[in-house]
Amino acid sequence: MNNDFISQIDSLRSTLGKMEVALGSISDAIVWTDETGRIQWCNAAFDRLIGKPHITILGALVVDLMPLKEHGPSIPGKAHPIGSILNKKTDKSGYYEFMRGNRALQLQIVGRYVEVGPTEPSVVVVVRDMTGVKEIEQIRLQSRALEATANAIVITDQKGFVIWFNRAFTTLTGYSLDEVYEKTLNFLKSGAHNNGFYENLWKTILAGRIWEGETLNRKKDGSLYTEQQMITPVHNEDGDITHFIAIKQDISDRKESEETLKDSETRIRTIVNTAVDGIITANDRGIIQSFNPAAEKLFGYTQDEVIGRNLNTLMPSPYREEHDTYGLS
Amino acid sequence: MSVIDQLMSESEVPVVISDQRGIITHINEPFGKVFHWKTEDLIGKALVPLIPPNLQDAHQMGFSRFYVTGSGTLLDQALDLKVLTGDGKEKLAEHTISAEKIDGEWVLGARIRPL
Repeated sequence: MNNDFISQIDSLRSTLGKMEVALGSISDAIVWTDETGRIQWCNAAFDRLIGKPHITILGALVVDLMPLKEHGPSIPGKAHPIGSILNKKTDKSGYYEFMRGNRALQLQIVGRYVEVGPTEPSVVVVVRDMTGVKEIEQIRLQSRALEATANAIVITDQKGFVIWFNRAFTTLTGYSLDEVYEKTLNFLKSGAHNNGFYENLWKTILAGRIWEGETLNRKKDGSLYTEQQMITPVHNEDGDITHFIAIKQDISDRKESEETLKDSETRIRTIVNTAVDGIITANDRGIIQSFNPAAEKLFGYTQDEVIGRNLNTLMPSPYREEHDTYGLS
Repeated sequence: MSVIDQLMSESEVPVVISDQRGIITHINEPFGKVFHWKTEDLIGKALVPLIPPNLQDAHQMGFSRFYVTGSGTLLDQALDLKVLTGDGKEKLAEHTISAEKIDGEWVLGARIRPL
């Protein structure tokens, strides 16, 4: 080796070594992966974050080494910042939870898609441990609330592709996030509603308005259920719709009770209307609320003439004047 | 006998020795046999061809840190790492890497036992 060559190597080693020392001295964790998401390099802060020796981290898949949760549930590999960046070739940032042993760490992750030359896509991710930061704890609390709420909550992107839902959605439908991530909610369709129904729904929310209504949907096990749903568009600072939030409540039991009540009411109304005796119902102030056909025949008034009037309308004088004081003396 | 002298005289276990720039200065006969490398293909060359591609960048950074600071995190402990063989395969082996300063420059050597 000639001296020029040695000098060049010394210079390069010196530069790389200083960079490594500098990057190792900062508190943010930095990790760089190849096109498969395997770690090519990481700094000392990343070793500390993961809690494993540097040499065992190199070459490992980040999604295996650092599984993440977002607002509660574990996210699938496709939704992991690394998976998402490699898949879509775009940057991705967000707040996530990482369990290091029994300890939950709140992380801010900023990921960048980087092409080193034309054939070497890679990802550079900077991870900041935000555990204990007041604002993050607030977000964490809100996440817990979203996760714990009894109503099913689904967040989709502006095209309707699922990006998150809470545990109640899984309980309601039987689907896990891993199964339906980045799919539309079409998998819930039961066939009970026509295209016009969905066109109206989309027209409403794409216009930036809230859609509210009942939908008969199908669960993963094939059974049907009725949900009361409210879909709210979310806008960015420019006013563009970025996401939709759907809040769903299973009202199958309520619908069933309503139907049962309706049936009994119909049955009772039929009995009352066909009875030969005059049947009149009034409230506690003596105001007539129903008046059956037999009563019409008996008193010579039509329903429309007496409903809403005092019962004493049906009494001749002097009983009429005395009627309202019955039982007071 | 110094650590590097011991490695130079090792005849049973595969050994590779490099200078502080990461240039290979010695491999013993077992290394050539076990990992299918010819001495003339490695002497005077960088260590990189012995390292699987997805670890090469990390190796360069770590080696350079040692070059600048003189302190290594992987020295004198058994590490299970893959070696790229002369016929293009990856072979898992237990590495024990040592470093010693000789005439003002670091010399690094490793015993590499195939697993």
